[in-house]
Amino acid sequence: MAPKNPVSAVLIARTAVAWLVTLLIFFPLGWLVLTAFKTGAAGDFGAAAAVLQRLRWTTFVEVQRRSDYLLYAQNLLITSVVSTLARPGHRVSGGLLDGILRSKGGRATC
Amino acid sequence: MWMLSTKMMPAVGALVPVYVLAQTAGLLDTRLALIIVFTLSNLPIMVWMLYSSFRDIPHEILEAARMDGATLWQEFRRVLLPLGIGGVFSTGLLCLVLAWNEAFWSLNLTAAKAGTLAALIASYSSPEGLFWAKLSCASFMAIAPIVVFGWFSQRQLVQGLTFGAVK
Repeated sequence: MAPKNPVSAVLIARTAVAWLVTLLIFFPLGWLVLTAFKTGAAGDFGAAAAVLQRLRWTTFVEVQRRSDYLLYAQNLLITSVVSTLARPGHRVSGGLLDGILRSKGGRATC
Repeated sequence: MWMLSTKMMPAVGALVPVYVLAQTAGLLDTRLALIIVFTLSNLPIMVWMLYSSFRDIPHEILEAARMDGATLWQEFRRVLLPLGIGGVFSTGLLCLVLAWNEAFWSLNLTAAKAGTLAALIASYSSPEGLFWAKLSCASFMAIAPIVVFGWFSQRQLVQGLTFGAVK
């Protein structure tokens, strides 16, 4: 008697392709994370050897010492948040102008 | 469509005029320059998304508010905004992510003073060679906050992108 839900070759192939695509997409991110926790030499050597080595935080300390991460992060946070908050302001003022023009029988702005 | 078509142009096409404008205004390597550019570069997406979300609000509700004597401002403040706050929030989230990930303008308009994390990452690609560990470390620190933020707000982000998809 045939099983209720036979696993067809097509399904296996599709699953394999899906996993392959997923790995391709996430490989750079995984490589990045692994390399970030390596020392300079291991990182330079490449990811394959780096995987086996113990993960360390030394590079994070070096990066922080060389360039102030928080200053750059602060700049980015301020610019992205303020620009995000500024946009609805533009839009709301545009929308109000649009509404006023429409109510007065003028031409809509967008 | 006109608003969206402005996003079709490659950013590098506007680099020289924007750079000259920023230089003339004394805004090079300032946060204000980046805020202005980020705001304007993502404005078309915001207009498109908010337009879709506000279009979903039934017209009858607005008519009812007008029948009750609501002014334009009251209509907006008490009817449109409460109903469309989800769309505004989703759009804000997406624009925050886009602004965070913006690298082109950050690299070209800023240096040490107002440099963002993109500038920090780029500084590890020096003529002496690539420092993979440090480069990866800086990249990891740059993407970590926004990945965590995106993970927790993915539902709202997807919702924001699918406004008006189903009528």
